[in-house]
Amino acid sequence: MTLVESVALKVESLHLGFPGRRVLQDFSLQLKRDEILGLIGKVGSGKTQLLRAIAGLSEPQSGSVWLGSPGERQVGYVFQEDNLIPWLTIRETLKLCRRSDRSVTLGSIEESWLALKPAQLSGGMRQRVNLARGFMNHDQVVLMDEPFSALDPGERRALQIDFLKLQSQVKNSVIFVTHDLPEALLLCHRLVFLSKKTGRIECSRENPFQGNFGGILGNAEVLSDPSYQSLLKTFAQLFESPVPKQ
Amino acid sequence: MNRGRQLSIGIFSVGVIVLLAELASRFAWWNSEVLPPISRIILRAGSLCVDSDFQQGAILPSLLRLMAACCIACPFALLVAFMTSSSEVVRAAISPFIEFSYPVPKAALFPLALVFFGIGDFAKVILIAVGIFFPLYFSIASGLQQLRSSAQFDVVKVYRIRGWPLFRDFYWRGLLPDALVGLRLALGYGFTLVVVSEMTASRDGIGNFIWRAWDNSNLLDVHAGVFLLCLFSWFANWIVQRVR
Repeated sequence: MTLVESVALKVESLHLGFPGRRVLQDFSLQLKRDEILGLIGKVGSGKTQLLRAIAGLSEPQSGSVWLGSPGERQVGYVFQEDNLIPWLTIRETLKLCRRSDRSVTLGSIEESWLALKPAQLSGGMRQRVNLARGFMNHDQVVLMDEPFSALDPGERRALQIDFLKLQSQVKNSVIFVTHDLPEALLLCHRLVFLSKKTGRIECSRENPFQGNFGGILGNAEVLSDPSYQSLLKTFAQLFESPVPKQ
Repeated sequence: MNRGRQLSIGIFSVGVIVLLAELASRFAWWNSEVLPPISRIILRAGSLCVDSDFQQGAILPSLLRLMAACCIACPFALLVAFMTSSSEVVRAAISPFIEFSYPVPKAALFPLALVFFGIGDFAKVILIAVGIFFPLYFSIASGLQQLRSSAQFDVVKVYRIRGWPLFRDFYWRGLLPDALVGLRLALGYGFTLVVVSEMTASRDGIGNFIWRAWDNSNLLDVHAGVFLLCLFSWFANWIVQRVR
């Protein structure tokens, strides 16, 4: 596989901001094929703005986003809120968001939910539909914006397992935004910390503990592993570092 | 408060007022020629409803004018709302006309409608359509604005939903509650304009019937006509609510 073939997404020299406030400055990032990249950063560091720019929902001031194929930018998006269309049934929503006749991967959605509307589902069920919708088109890149943050621990665990299963089936590349370090260590192959101060990546580390539930379940062997501790400590310190006022 | 209790209170309050009005007329607490007993008004309205001349000469023309006006105003309001919300240039071009013409009492336009379209049904239908257009337009435009700024619109953009599925599944179904609220307001206004337009330069319709009854000092028929108008407006409103 050549270097170009191994890259699923390339963001180059991206400048993003609002009038009177800069968010990302000369930001660059590469996402490898089949990679789950954990994007971590303080509130207001531009994580969601970056995802929106990649998805084409907002226009950057300058810079480029390359998604591997020419033509329309096609990504899957798992929103923080489920963003399900309230007047459509789940079946109608999935049909509406389907881009091709390719077989659909629905994860753990149950057949009986398809005839229901979002208001008839629990938060966890809606988030499962949100997850399935993000992955069903087999897009090369899926963007996930803190998708499990509003769920209780049990639901969260179930969805994390669902996500890992789906990603291993579909084999796409994922940018996963989260504030939860143990979650990032469980799900992501690589962790990057987005600095609010510079608007760029401050720290990037490979994560050998991806897919290992030991950290989240309190397994002493994993928790006492020096490299696990080092990763946790590095990112925890970055969260605690003060941010000067702009 | 549950629905049954609400309904009971409503029926009770209407019943009390009707009974008091009936007694007031029967015992001459007021001039029963000016305000006849309610029972007589209801009986007269009932007899008018089953009279085929009244059906053909009053009810049918009025309802046909209202329906024709709806057929013109509804698609037009939808089209203009989509145009103004899709393009800032179109909005900037059209908004001044809408802002300027909205506050004008539509009944004041009737003489102009007669001049432009002649003394016939077309002028009346156009006047009613103009009156119906505005509440519909504002409710649809406001619904569109809400839809376009909603989080669900991000889904539309990310998944490139376009064309007929976008219109049918996102806009049409999402707009329906707002459009029906607009239609309720519009129908109320539409009935007013039906009557206004039929009171002059008309040989049929409920407005013409009420006007002729007043001209002949037949106040019972005036009351019966107004009562029937209330019934029709209420029924149209009820249908829209059921659909909603």
